[in-house]
Amino acid sequence: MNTRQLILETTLKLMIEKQNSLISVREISEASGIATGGIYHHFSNKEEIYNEITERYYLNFYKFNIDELRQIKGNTKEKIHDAMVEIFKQQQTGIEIESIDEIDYRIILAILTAKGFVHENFQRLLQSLLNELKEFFTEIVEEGQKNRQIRQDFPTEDIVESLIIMYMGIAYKWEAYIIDDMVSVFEDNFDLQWEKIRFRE
Amino acid sequence: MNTKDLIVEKTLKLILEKGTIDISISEIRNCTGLTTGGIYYHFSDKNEIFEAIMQKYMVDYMKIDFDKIPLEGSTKERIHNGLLYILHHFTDGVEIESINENINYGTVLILLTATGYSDDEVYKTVSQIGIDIGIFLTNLVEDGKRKNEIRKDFSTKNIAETLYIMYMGVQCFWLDFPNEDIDLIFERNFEMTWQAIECQ
Repeated sequence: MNTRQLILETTLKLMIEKQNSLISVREISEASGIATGGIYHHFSNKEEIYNEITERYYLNFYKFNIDELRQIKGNTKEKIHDAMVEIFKQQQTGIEIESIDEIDYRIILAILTAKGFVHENFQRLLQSLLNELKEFFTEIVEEGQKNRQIRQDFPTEDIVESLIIMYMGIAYKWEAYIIDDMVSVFEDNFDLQWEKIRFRE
Repeated sequence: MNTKDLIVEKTLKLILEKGTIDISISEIRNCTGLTTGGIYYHFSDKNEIFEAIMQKYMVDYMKIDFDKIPLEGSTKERIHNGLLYILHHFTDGVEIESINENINYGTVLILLTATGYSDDEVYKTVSQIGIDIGIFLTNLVEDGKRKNEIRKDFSTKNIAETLYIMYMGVQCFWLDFPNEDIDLIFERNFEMTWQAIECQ
């Protein structure tokens, strides 16, 4: 691991240990064995370390690989199902941290939430993710409406919104520790979710 | 307002303005007009101020008195009004007297989250409210099944979960996109969810 990465991961680990996002450079130096001078060689101040941690482990967490979702084949119900499973799987795994084998990623999210939300790019990132998801599901829903697999008595955008609300609801229940496994809750619930939007004569 | 409450509110205001819980005693002194001695008369240290903030704006805020939720009418109306009551309870938040401008309570929650999760009482309160909302919905769904207003070919657990997921999705939307019309999103999603669970 290079020094820069070591500084970042050490700081993140201290945050986890202390359950607090406020860590001093002295603490980072003690825990990493890198002199404060060495730390300042890579980062001009504490804020810069915080910022990079937030970008890597919080902002990146909310991005998903839409291109991978576009590869999914099948009928409308299968496509929606498989895409959702893929999204939940990607999220639950979180971002890889070299020096930590296994961690409940929610711990990192909780610690970084405040920093993430005030990050200058976060609102824009959320908005563009929402738009990407909307665009992705709109294609599937439009096709499904045309093929009489999805109900036509609601506008496409309302159906798409209901899918996104379902995704957010499961993700939020997980983040709030109400459920532990997004995929299994989704699987248990998908048939009834499908009832909301399936084609009606 | 008494001095103790003033310190708590002004500190929260600072947290909102700075976008961080990293606040010093001297900053609290400046915005309250109190001396350090005056602050320490009410709180033994900075942590105690944060604890008071967590108690008021997270723990007390989370508590819902389910008996107060007005439940009348059909099963559809009862579930609709119950969920809307809970949604408004959370989006309205705790009143902050000394801040005149309209603040989004979501911002308060987000800024306090990191501290909140390391606080056992907040953690316990959050899990308890999660369980309570689940029970609240389960009871309404069971009742609706008995009255033949909710379909019986899906389990009560499934139906309550679907409603709960829809509700949480709307609440999450409010946190992430504070400028959207949350009531409208709730109404649209409630209607579609209801059509899936009503007696067919």
